[in-house]
Amino acid sequence: MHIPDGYLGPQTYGAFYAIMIPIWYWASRKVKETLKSKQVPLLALGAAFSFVIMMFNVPAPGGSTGHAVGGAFIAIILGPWHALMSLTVALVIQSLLFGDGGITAIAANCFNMALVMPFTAYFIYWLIRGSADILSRRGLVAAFMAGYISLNIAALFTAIEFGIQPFIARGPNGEPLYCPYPLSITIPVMGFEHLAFFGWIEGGITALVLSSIAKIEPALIVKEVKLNKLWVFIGILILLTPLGLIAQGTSWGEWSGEELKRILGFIPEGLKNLENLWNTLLSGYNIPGWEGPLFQSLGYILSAIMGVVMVSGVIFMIGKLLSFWEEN
Amino acid sequence: MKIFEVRDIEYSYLGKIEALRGISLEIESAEKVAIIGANGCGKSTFLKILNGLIFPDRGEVKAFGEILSQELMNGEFNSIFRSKVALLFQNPDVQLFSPSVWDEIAFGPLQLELPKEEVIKRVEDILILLRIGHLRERSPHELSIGEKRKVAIASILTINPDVLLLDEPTAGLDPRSTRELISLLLEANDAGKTIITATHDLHTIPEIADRCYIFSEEKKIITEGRTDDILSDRNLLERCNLIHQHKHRHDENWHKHPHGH
Amino acid sequence: MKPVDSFRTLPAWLKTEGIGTFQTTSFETRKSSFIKKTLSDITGFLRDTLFTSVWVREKGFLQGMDPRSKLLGVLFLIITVSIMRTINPLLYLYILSVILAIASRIKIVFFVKRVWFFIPFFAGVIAIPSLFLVPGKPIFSFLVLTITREGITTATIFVLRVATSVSFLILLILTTKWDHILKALRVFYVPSLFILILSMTYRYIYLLIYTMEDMHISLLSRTIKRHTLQEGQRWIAGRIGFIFYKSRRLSGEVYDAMISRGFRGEVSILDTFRMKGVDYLWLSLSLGVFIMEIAS
Repeated sequence: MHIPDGYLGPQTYGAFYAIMIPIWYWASRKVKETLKSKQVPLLALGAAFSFVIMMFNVPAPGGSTGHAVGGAFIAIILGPWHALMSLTVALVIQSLLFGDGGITAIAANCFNMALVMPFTAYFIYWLIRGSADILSRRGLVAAFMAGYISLNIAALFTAIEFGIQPFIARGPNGEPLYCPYPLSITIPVMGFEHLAFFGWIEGGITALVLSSIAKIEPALIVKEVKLNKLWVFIGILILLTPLGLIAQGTSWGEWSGEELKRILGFIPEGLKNLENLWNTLLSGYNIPGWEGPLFQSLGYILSAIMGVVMVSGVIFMIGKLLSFWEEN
Repeated sequence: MKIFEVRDIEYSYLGKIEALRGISLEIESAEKVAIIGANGCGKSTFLKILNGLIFPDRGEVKAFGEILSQELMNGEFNSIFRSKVALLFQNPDVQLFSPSVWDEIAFGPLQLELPKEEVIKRVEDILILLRIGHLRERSPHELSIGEKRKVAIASILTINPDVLLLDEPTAGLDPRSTRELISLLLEANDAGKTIITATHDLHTIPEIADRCYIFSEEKKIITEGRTDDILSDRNLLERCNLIHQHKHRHDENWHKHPHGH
Repeated sequence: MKPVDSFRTLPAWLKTEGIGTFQTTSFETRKSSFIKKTLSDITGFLRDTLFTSVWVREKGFLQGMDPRSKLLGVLFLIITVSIMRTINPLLYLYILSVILAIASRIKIVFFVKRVWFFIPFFAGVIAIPSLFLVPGKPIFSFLVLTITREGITTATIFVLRVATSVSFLILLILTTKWDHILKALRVFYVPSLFILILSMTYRYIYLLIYTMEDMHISLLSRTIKRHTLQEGQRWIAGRIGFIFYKSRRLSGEVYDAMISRGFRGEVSILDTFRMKGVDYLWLSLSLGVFIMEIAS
């Protein structure tokens, strides 16, 4: 799932840097709060652990083997913020020192495997497990589902990132410049692989690893982040971000709502409104002379930042309102 | 001057697993002292307590006249103490966390905020002293166990501590390196450094210690005294599992005799 | 510790000859394929890092450069590659990467192989169907499949782009010591604490990999009958749990070792990087290419 250089256009990878940099900053503050200077070796060893487990060949039916990403159980045993930092460090090292995954795609890879995957896994795990025992049937099912679903969601995001490339950037004769396949191809292909094969490995390994750790040190796996309404909305935010990015493509007239409808098969009502909002807000944005690809990317990144800030602001407000409403 | 005064300390991991029971001792400046005991007798834990890394559950440890505590270590005292007392860890993989040998040896002095030129000078001198100049660019994972041990020793010597706490310093060293290390330690001791060594290697003790304490498997001090007296008490050593009857062959004849490690 | 006496005599069963005889055919070669696969992956990983480190010691063009300007220049070039829209300039940059490899005394066969055979192999597989799938002007028909001019352009641009970016990244990795790459991240204002974490991670990856190798070797040497799928997965999960446990204990010990040498949550990183003439030449070259591409 490591995206190399050259698969994503500058608009896409730039947007992911714009999303990830504040998240990294936030996560490092979050981690620092809880652990102070002890975080340094803890994160380093956590990252080394994350790196190494990707090297295990896990036996699969039919004599084949596959690798587990490990994002799910890392999130459950280290907590999602630590998982985010550890996996980021592991991914940066894979790219920069081993050439596995592109430099330009570091942020996108981190988004998929260090942000989406651990947070989804963590959320699903505690949602299903509730207050059940870690080694109970329900606890193990929760672990399996956390691994299975989070890997598939991460794969879905990767597929979306690939699939939007032909719509974002085309050459002089209309030919795709980056990953050449549209969503109608990337989603089914990635989906099939992960739903039918890799997801099972990830889910199985997540459940088995958790039960083996629970036997060594049961006190280790504790819910350290409260799952209140705010968390649910942050989850939705993460899900919405790429849709927001897709919607933005229209700002440059390459993609209409109709086209989106054709690709996705449907178009959420809210998204349509979001799109109108973009168009209104950014209508004065295409300043003459800003036609070069760099400036277009800059514009795209800027609006991506704006989009993320706005969506998070709205969601934050809704969360605050909800908790206020609950208290009274 | 008394460097350490330890009074009746107890320590247990996670409040359950006992590691030390009722240990008391005193160590003067410029002494050579050995802590002897079989594996698992609490030597390493004791050195960590002397280094102010962990703190006893009961009893007190005074270093340079101050009672060691987490609060004390969070304050000004920390940097003075760290520049005066250095610990060589038993597992060199734990101690070598920097990207290269050069960075590793420079880590301590850099943390003490010495001027850059002084740091470079110290590192270069130590590389020559320990004859590890050819390793300077290497990463820790590319070193043999003996090389790792030497680099770990180098990394604490650049701090120029007054007190050296050494946990099994000769483990993994070849005989020649062991000799070189011992003469280096003796020279440092002549220069006024205090040397406290935890070991179960009875051969090196007469040279690196004038006095020794024996820790038993019950995590207590059984006895203390002059090294010569203690090492000549065979019964005592066997009781502490430091020597055992050893079966081997001399000139076609098998025989048993006490053997130390 | 148990008293030594309890080990003095061997139990009777340990003194008898082991059961079973050698039957070469009954040992299935596939019986523990996942163990062997991981072992060969580990060997491959260690061999690759060894081969990679060979070229750092050559006295070539890129090796003599300040890692900071090298990283910056490589980044400019990779970004330039990512915004190019036509085949020719991509081809020029690919040729530039090969020239740089020659100037850095990297064996050209090794370099080209490393780039083309391993990493973008996947890209090639991806590109082939696009020859047929991208709609456009047909130039060649074969049964139901039609190759279009746009299809060829797409596939060529895509493969060339991936190969060229990978070439530059590989050049950086082959000609720079790993800790220098990390220290060079300072130019992007990456906090030095983060750089410390990165370098400690790299260092402890090896420790954990050696542990992992030992586990697999000892399992292989004890494997008598074929593992069932469930046994295999259970074993791996147990080992992962153990590696986690080990790395957590190690992190506590490493923390003590850092504190013991005066660490208090801040680090100063000492480097000997110096910008020379060649660095300015390189930076203006890569920046020039970047600006030219934007301007066109």
